[in-house]
Amino acid sequence: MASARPKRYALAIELTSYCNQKCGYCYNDFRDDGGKSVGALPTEQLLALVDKALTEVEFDHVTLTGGEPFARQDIFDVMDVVKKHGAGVQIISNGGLITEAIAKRLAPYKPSFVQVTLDGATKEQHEAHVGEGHYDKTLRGISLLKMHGVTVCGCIVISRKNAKDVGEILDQFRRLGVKSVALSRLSPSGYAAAQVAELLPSRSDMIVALEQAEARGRDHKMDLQVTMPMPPCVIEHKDFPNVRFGGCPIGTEMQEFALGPKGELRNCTLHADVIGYGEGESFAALVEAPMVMQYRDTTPEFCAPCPHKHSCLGGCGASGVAVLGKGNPLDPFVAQHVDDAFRAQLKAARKGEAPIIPANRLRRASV
Amino acid sequence: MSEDETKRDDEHDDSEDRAVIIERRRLLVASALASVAMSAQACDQVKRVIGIADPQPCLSPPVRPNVCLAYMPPQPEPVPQVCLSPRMVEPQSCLSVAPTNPPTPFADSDGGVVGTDLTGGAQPCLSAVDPRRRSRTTTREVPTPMVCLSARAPQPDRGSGDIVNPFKSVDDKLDDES
Ligand code: SF4
Ligand code: SF4
Repeated sequence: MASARPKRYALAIELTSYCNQKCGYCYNDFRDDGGKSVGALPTEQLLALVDKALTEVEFDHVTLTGGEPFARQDIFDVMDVVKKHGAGVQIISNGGLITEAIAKRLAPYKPSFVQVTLDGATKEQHEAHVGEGHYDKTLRGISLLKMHGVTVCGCIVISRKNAKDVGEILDQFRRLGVKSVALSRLSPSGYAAAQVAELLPSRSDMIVALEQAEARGRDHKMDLQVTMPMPPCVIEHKDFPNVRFGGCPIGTEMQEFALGPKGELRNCTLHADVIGYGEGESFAALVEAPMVMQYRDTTPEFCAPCPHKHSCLGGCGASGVAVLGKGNPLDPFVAQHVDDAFRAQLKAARKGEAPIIPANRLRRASV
Repeated sequence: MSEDETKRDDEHDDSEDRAVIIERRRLLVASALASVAMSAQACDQVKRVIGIADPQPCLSPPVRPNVCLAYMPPQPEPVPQVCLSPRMVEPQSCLSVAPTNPPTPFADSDGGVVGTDLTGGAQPCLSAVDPRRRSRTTTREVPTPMVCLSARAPQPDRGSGDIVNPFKSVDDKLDDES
């Protein structure tokens, strides 16, 4: 019976593992070889899988992502399937492949927004994060989308390289007519786990970034949300009333599952562990699998006494697993300050003495 | 990594970040415990957690607002626990809950016995001493909270009612780390 379908908030569909950019902070495992080893599902299989997912689970909306979702020409066919089910669509893109024709074709689909990331207010700074030759293309993509009436939402991946420049990046977004921006505090998972020493912002870095964001939220009415957990033991959320904060939604009705480029369902885009494959199993059963339902039952040891542990979970578990390994690791954002061994590792790596080999690399090497 | 960043690392000592996080966690724990002690709903939850199906009314007087000795760390010897959170005052009723028990020494929130001569005529709430659990307080391995097991006059629910396990050697842990 259709009404008995479980309801969930969102499904992030990773349309392809290919991406035209080479971001140091990429949370995808498949960034390592540009997605070659993973590839993407053929059109027919992808459309059938999306149709099956939306038939079996009532998702409020899907998020089309990748890799770079506009690298797939059949993105519009996927949107047709999603629309048929009455679910909303939003898109995460680097903007670099958006042409006039794509922007024009996209407009009637009325996606809630296309989220485009800028990591620097200047070409040099942005490209220091994503690779050379992309800044102008991204700006052009934003302009084309806006020109055709597509809502653009911004994103800044806040790293230790750009935390002090968040205000200027927000000003740049404002000049481009983008007032809603996701502040994505770097969560090192996938490829980025190996860049943790270079990129992970400290608590102090984030406070500098948040102070600049708070001023823009207050003075320019920008709509700003931190999209990665900022645990209450690290940051006093009340100090930044014009910035919204959230927590990890896994295991709640607000969870955004990830449907990966091999058709695998995962707990979120940053988690690499597979819940199951929708082709052979029921999505309705998968979204209620123990890996989902029991996710919030265990928390890091550091959090044992904390009253927030069941809401905060010790931050982003995906980055904890990627960098520090299985068990109940603390988010590296917190662990960098309170886990002595990890703290020492970071120090050594930053002095160039010994690189950090994250747990996800060690795991892959041992397979 | 650029030269600038390397230099920054040499100079940047994160010990302040570390200290702030540890201290903030301690405060989060402390404020949650205070609100748990204040919350009738939370109190009921604790009672359910430790298996008290039919709690007795507890009307002992306020002694020290916001401190519930139920949340003190486990003691090496059984120590009667006293709920000191603000409540409706009715000492006789409180004592009548446990008529066979004589008044017992109070314990300080960090475990020290502060004596029985309490100002304001406060009466210890003996219903907190659950004989089934008493022996377990002798071991630090299986810390069991002694809570005020009785029903209290409803207080505004200032906490989330989300019962944590503050008894798991929390204070030891925090002390070690700070
Ligand atoms: S649950 Fe852990 S990370 Fe979150 S606020 Fe508490 S101590 Fe900090
Ligand atoms: S583990 Fe939770 S916080 Fe981290 S990316 Fe996934 S959903 Fe977000």
